[in-house]
Amino acid sequence: MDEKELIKLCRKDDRTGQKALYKLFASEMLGVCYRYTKSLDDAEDVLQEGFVKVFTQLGQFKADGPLGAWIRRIMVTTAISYLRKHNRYRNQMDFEHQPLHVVVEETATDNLQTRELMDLIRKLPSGYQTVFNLVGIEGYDHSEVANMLGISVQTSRSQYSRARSQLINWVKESEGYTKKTAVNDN
Amino acid sequence: MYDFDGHIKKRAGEYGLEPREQVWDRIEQELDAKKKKRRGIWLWWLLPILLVGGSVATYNYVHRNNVHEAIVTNEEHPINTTTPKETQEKNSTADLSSTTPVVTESLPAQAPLQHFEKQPINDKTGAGENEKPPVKKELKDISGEQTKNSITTTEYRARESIKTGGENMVPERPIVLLDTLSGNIALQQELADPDVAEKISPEEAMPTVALADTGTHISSVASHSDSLHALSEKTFSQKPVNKPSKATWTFVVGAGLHNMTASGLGLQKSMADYNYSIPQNSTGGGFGNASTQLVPTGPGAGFMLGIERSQAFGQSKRWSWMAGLHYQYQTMQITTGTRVDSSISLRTNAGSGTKSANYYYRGGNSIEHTGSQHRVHMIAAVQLYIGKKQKWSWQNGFYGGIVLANDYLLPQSSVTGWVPSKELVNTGYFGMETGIKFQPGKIGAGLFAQYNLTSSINATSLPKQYWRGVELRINYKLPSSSAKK
Repeated sequence: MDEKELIKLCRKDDRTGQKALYKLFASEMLGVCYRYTKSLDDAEDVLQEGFVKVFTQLGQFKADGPLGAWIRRIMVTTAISYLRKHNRYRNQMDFEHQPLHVVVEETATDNLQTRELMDLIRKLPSGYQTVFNLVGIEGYDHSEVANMLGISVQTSRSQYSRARSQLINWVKESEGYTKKTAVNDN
Repeated sequence: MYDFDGHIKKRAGEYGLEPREQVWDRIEQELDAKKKKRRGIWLWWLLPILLVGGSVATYNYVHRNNVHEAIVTNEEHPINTTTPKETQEKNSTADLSSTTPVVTESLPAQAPLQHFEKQPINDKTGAGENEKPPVKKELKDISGEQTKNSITTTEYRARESIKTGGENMVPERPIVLLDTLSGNIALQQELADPDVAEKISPEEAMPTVALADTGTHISSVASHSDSLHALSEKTFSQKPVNKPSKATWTFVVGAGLHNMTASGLGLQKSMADYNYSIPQNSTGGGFGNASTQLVPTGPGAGFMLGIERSQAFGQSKRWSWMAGLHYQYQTMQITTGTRVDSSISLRTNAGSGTKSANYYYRGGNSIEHTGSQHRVHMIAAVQLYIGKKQKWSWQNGFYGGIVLANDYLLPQSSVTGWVPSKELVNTGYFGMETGIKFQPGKIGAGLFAQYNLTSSINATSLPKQYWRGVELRINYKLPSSSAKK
């Protein structure tokens, strides 16, 4: 069953079609949700809320772009709304000042598994994690992010910059640790 | 320069996780709940639609019946009467197409009538220079003989006490005509010809028997068509019974059920959820604790008091306006919940490599509370009276007001922070209502549906909450100033 047929079924509130659509995108979207949250449970909560929105708002989807991108946008906005609603995320907007422009060795991230890299992103405080996800991964510009999060463009820039620097530091540390472990193991 | 951002982006695109089976089950449950809620929303709209439909149907039904129940007002109408002699002369030249009056010859003291109570005929004549001979009427006995010249009176089965003070007048008491005026006139003209009248059976000459059976008192206006013509259409009108042509004050008391609704709230899942996992090569460590508050709501009973003023629009017999001041006390069932998320993550470097573990606990509680609101609002409405007696009316209006006080629980930022909101900054609200009123006299009743269009609770980070409600109201109408006079 292709996407168009799935969309037709979902618009008719057909449960089989909805489940098929869910199965098609659940894994990818949980990865997106997980990047914005601190635990798998929260990520699944976001996924649940997001898919309910997808099924109830599918009538508004205009097939002028890929369905996956549309669902992804819904997941991102749902995740942001989830973070705003919950205190444990709302209270984590402070971030200690980090030096900017850290030099990275060219292949530093190559040695880390994807999962480890995503875990590093999730280690960032919520505010920085969100800004980094939106700018660095989703590709929104700072004015859009400022609009979405209700912050100034300057704040968005500085948070992204600091988050990026922190990540690079962590990648370097992790790389060094991996090499050291490898030496010890030998 | 190494493209760190590009690399991260690429890796993130590849990243996926398989959700647990329960996630889909929860999505299904939520979709089902939303479906039910959508049905519920339709039901709320169904109520006013039913009221409107019912009102229109009632109006049409009553209006249709009124065609046969026109009431003649107490206006005086001269009746051209003739003496028997004149009548005989005219009858000799009677023409079916003419409007020649028909004069009866004799009038029994008590005409045997079917369907109508007996009433003596008052043929007294007035005194004076212009005194005219008494008009004699003969009433037809349907079961008995019929005289040729008693056609008109028998046609209407009339019994009349015609006052002849100088000239014969239509009696002061209301006269009810049966069937349409024109139809009877035509029939009268036809029946004026004795030959024709003979051929017509009593039943045929009684097109209004069915109505007479309803018990309506019927009086004839006169015995000839000219006098019927004299009753112009404008003399027929519906007599207002209960219309507030003068401004009236009404006290209102009522009770009802209101349902608080709020989107996006609810204890959507089990409040106990425990998770344990050991991520591979985790480098984190720490402890976290956070809470979430949830505010589902439900229906609650309440009562209202009010005072209203109403008056007809100009000379309108159907439409009137109403303005009033209402106070409402409304209880609310509120379920509050606090969800606590605790997590601890451990890391150890003992042995080969790093071992770490994440412990995650989610717990919570939910408690039923009863909250209340004191509200006061102004209402402005339009009333459409239904039916000839105007006891029923359909009222539609808008209201706007403020919440005077809340005894309500609102979430605070702390984990255990549920506090009464008596000090809450009160907010305004706006809504619309529709209802049917029955006011047979001073005391009446009405059933109303209210639909709030704005939230009546103003709180940061709390979703908007609206109420929908039904109220049964008892009205006590004060006498208007004109009525006192």
